[in-house]
Amino acid sequence: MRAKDFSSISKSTVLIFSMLGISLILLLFIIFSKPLPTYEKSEIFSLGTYVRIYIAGGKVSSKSLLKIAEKEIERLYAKYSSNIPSSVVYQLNEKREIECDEESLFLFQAAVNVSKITGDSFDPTLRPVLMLWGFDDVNSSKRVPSSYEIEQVLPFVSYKFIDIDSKNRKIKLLKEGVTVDLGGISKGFIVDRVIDRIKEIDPKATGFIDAGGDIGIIGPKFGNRPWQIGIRDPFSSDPAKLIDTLYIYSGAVATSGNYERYFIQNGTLYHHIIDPKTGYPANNCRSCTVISDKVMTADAYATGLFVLGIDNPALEYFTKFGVQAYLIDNTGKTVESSGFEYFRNKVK
Amino acid sequence: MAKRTKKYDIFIVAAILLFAVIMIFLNLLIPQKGIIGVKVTIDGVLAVSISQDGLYPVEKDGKHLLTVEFYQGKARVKESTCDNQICVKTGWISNTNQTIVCLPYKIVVEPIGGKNTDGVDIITW
Ligand SMILES: [Zn+2]
Repeated sequence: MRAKDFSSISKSTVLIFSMLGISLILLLFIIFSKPLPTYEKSEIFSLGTYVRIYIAGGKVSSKSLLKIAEKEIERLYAKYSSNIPSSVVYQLNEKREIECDEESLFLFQAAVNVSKITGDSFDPTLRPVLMLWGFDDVNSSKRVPSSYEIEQVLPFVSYKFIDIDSKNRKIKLLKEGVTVDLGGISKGFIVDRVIDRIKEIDPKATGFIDAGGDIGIIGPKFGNRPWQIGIRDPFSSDPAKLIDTLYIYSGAVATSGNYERYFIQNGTLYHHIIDPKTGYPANNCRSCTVISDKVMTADAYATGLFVLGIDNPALEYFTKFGVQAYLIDNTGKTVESSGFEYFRNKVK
Repeated sequence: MAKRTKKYDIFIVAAILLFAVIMIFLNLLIPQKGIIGVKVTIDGVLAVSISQDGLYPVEKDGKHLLTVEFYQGKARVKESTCDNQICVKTGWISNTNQTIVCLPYKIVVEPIGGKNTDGVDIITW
């Protein structure tokens, strides 16, 4: 009886069922893998570096968001670059006192605040020293200045010479010879502003902006996954060799390393991260990576904490300002703040 | 005879299903090796598109800037007249998420084709 039932299942029935089975699997596959947003990318040379933008729009097209981002980067770069005559910074250095908008006041105040908090290990008035070394511009010729030359310009280096009058929207340089360069903070600030702008237009947009290794997240990968961010191995000349990996859904990561801009003279490496207190490259660190909620914060503290070096007993103190840091010194020794480990975990 | 047919049919169904599932995941999991080629841009403007093995000099306004080498799915800047030589020190790239950048000349050597095989989306440096 039973055997007869089975034999009645003809070959064609089996075929139909198998086709149905395959259709079902494909259907489930299509249902559960909802179409992933497609990322449009753009690469531009701006902010004194190479900027990569990855965007997938939520309600606005990715392409138009890219265009907006590019324009905004160029506009803000022209506003804050110390080498462009129409910029706020150039005007301040020329006129010594300027009236400016809220945004500029905020940026100057932020720069001064980081200087204060890091005990002047970051300083927006370092420009005269950077010019001596040739680190003010990619194309400046580099050399080791004499200690006499450095002594001559150090008296003009201190954030205390910047007076910010937010009530009357005025910024003033208090000492003749003092010049400002927001290079160490404006790159991050600009990326933050551009991300804010994109989120205003399209709150569901995701992606990131990578300005020469200083990274700001627009939104998680495909809307729900972390971006996988490698930290460059500071001991390798290969920029793609990694020493660690982070998983970031939002916020920012920036790294300062002695391999970014440097020259070698008589066998000694001189890099661009200058200690504002000595006028010489800071040598108690090789690479400093900072995670924060804003690229501006990450950018500025990566420099400040690099200068403070690996033997910084107050590293944990900076977590109060939303900064998690990871430092590597010239021997390969590493030090990190308590919350850094969290970002190494893929699953949170 | 009837029992035999049944076993045989089930085997076919299982094989077809297995084949379908394998094809789906194969497509997702197996990465393509290397890159198909590279494009070289100067300040965003395409200078040369490379897909054949060989040496490709890149120049602007009659001035020689650098030479890109493409060989068996990987690319490098073989030599450059730029001052910091970072592009040369970058060495070979063979993954879609890698690029070679020469900041002084605003040159980017960027992969075309291939799949991201080392997983990292961005590098902080
Ligand atoms: Zn180069």
